[in-house]
Amino acid sequence: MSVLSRQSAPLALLIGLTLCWPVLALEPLRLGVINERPDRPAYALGLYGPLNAYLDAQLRPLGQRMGDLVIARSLDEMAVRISDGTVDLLLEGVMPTLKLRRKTGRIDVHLLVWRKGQRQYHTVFFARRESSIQRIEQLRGKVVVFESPRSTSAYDVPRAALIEAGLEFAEQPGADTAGAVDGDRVRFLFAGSELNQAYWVHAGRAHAGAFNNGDWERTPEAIKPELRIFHRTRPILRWLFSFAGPVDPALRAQLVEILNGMHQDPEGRAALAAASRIAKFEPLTSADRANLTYWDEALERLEAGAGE
Amino acid sequence: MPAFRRLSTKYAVAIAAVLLLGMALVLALAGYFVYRGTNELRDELAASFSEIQSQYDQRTLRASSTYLSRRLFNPLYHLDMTALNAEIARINAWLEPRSVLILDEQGGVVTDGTLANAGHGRIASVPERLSEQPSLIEETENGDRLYFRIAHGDETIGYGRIDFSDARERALLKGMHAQIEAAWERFEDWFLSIGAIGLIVALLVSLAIGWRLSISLSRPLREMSDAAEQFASGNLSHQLPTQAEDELGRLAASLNRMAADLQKAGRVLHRAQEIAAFGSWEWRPGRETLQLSHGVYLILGLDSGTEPYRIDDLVQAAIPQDRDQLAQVLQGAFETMVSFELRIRRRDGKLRTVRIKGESECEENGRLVASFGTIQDITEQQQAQAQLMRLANFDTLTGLPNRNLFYDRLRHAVQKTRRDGGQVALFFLDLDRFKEINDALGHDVGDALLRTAAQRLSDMVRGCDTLARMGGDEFTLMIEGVSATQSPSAVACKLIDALSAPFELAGQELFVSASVGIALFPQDADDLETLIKHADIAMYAAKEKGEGSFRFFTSALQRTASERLALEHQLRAALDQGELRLQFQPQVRVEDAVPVGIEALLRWGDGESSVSPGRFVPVLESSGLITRVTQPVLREAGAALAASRVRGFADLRVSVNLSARQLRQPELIGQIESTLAEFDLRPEQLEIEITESTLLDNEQCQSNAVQLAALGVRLAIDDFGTGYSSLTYLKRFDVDALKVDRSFVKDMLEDQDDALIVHAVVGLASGLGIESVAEGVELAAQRAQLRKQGCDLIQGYLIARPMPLPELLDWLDARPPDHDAATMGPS
Repeated sequence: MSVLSRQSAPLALLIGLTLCWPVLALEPLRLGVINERPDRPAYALGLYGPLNAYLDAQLRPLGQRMGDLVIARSLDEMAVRISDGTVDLLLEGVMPTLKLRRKTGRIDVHLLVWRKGQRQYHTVFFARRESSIQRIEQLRGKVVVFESPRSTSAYDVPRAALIEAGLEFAEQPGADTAGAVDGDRVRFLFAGSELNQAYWVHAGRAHAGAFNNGDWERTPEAIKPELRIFHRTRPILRWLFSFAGPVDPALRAQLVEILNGMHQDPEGRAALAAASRIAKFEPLTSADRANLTYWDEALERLEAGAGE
Repeated sequence: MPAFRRLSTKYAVAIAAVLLLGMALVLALAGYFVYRGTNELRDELAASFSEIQSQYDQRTLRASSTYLSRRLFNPLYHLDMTALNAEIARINAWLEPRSVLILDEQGGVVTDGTLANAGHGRIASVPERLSEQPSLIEETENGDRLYFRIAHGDETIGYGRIDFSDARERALLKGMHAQIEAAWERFEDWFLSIGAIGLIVALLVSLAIGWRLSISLSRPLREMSDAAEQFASGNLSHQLPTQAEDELGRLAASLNRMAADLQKAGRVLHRAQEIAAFGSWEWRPGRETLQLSHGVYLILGLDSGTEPYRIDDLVQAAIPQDRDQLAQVLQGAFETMVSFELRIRRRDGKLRTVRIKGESECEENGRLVASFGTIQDITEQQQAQAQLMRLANFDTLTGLPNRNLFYDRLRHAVQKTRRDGGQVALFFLDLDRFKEINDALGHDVGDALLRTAAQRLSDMVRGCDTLARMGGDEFTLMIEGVSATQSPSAVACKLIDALSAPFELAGQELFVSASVGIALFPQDADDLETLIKHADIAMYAAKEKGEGSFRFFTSALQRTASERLALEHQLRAALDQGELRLQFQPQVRVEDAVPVGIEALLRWGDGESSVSPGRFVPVLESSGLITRVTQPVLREAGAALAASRVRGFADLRVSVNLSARQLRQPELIGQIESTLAEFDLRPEQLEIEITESTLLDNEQCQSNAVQLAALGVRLAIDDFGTGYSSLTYLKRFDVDALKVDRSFVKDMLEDQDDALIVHAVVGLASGLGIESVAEGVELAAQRAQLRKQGCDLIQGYLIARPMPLPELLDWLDARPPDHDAATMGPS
């Protein structure tokens, strides 16, 4: 017995360590973001690097590290990353988050994120003041200018509103076709920015435009008086924090706690401010979840519409 | 302070000052121009920078406008305000304009780059010129405004307007000004530092150069100064280095030459002192020795400079009676130079006479500083003076007082007599026939005769009398205190007697006599000159009286002399007026009375107014007027022959008498040749008659006689037998005829001696093969006698009297010519 014990002691230790490895050496958590400027990874690093570093610093005492920031250039790439387990945490808007949940099935929306001072916002439809369009339904056969295909408030939400209003829509083939839209479909264009949307409408390049109410507030006074809002949509939460994969519940809880308390820590506030002027994280309320449900259904309709 | 008295220091300071001033001036000028130029450069630099900056900005803007036009085209085309604003943001960051506006095609503001875009839609003016060019720049109040088209190809979709403030440029210029000012201040500090350093360096360099130059300048001067001191101390062998070829080198060479010349001059001076027997001396109080020059040592017969010469030695060298005076001169103090002569005895025992001169140098208080002077050996000088005195007052031949001394003594005697009374007798004594003896026997005999005569005369006169030789054969004697025992007559007789005894000279006895003229003071004259003249007149009177006689001056003699003088004046007038004419006396053959020749005889006046040749010819001769008649006489004689030739007497010859004075005329030969040529005469038709003594007169006479003979002219000796004759001369000078003096012919019938003389002369002529001519033939008996004795020709009153030419021609006409006469020789 004694001989066996002396010869088998190192082996037993090795086996023991191997068995205990998952507990002793946890995989780093990886935060994923979709870059608003796909050609400039540094842009995303500049925004979310401090937040990632803060979380790493907070988790390290707990034996957890944050891995490198996962910067996807598109929603599809993010979906792939989530699917292959590269991304553990996700910061994104409502509609992208819901789209990724639909695509990967790994998204667990967990916290509401105050971004750019907003907890939630809504989309406004606007036209020139002298325009005859008074209601959304009057957009039939008109040209609406959106920001970009990946915009929530200036693309997904207004399209959902159009669907809800019973309107069909299609992308305008050329950029310079204002006033030359045939049929009943609403034609839409991408202006590339909310500012362009306002000027295009002001310049007559589009009959109407749609973006969130914050953009309306930022519309230049030089043209704003000559524009008017003729429709507002249901509110939508500003941004969401989600778990994109299986994370230890204790770790989840610790991480949520850290995130929820970040706005109370000066270092945390600084990291939040850097990350698209996030004010704070807070838990989702039931109303928030109901709102998410509504927009998930709207998304379903959009995807259904797109599928048609 | 002594250093500043040195020439090198003065030179150094002066040169350094000049150099420093020069360099300081150059530095100041250079600094001024650099300072002014740099100062002006500041503004020019700023202006230039501003202009360059402006040009650069405009070029940049124009280039930028092209770039911006391309960049802005797409955003504007798509009305991509975000992109436009981003471009404007880039423009703002890039160009820092005051404002940027993007305008649409109508000039409406599309965006100003701000989110507010307050001017959107407002119409902004666009220059029309912009349609012609892609961009233009306008100046505004506060800067420039850039317009450019936003176009692609020919399609313009809008415009860009960018306002630039000149604040940046002003700030830039201000900054540049500040930098320039700072640089200028640094430059000023640097400039002042450089100037100060430059001045210090210039000062040091000036001092160094000045010191070096002063050394190079003053060293030769110091060497020359040292050399001058050496020269002054007597070291003339000192030599200055003369390597340099500049003025100082030449000066040094000149000083060396000067020293050499001084050495040479010193040697010459020594030699001169030796020759002049001259030297200098100097004595200073308190010293017992004299400083003597080389010459004094020679005078004293000592070796030069052997030992310091003591005063006592020099005093003791003088003869005793001169010693005190010498000592006083050597050590005395005098206001003016003193001089006296003394005799010293040289070391070799010779007695010399020296002249010592001395003068003194005293201080203002009269204290003697030095005595100095010269010493000259005047022994030879005194001897020469004595010799000169003798030569001036005594006749070297006889030792008797000469004319000067005699006249001086006579003057004193006359003055004394005039003052004290008494009488002075003056004797003029002339040796008779001395000239003939002198000419015949030579000057040595003549001189011996004179010395002997002087000795005899000296022996017979008293010591208180003065016997002198006046010259030639003339002696004078002055006797003071004439008394009965010492009467002038007695003295004259003594004089004549003293010379009457024969003189034994040259191995023969010579006889001379004396003619003595006597004049007395104060009886015969009031003054010295008159007394002498009267004595002379009396002497001539004595000569005329006859040899060996004496005459007292009388008033009659005075008249005769006066008349003689008057006659001389008349003769001059007569010569001027041609009053002297020729008469001709025929010479005929004694056998048949055929005319052979004529003798030309000079005559003055006609009839009772005529003057005897015996009177005027001697006056002509003694006055020298005789030479004036030579040429006229020759021509008149030639003319007479020419006239005779017309009358058929072509071979007639003419005899012309010439005195010694005439024969020695240098122009005589020429005159004779011209006369022969003028009248076409043969030389033998002219016969020159001279006396025996004439040939003995001098060499010119003899030379002319030889030339006459060579010319073919006949030569006849007139009055042969009355004087000294040299038979040798008769042959030597080719004499053609001897003329028997009329005094012998006159008495030849009664006086046997004269007859013998005539016979001897005729015989001599016959013996010599020459003609004999007897003159003064008046009687037929004389002619007969002469014919009997063999005389060839005769002339005289028996044949014809001397007659003027017309009468002669008539006389000739009465006789047929004999063509053989000219060729007839002596019978």
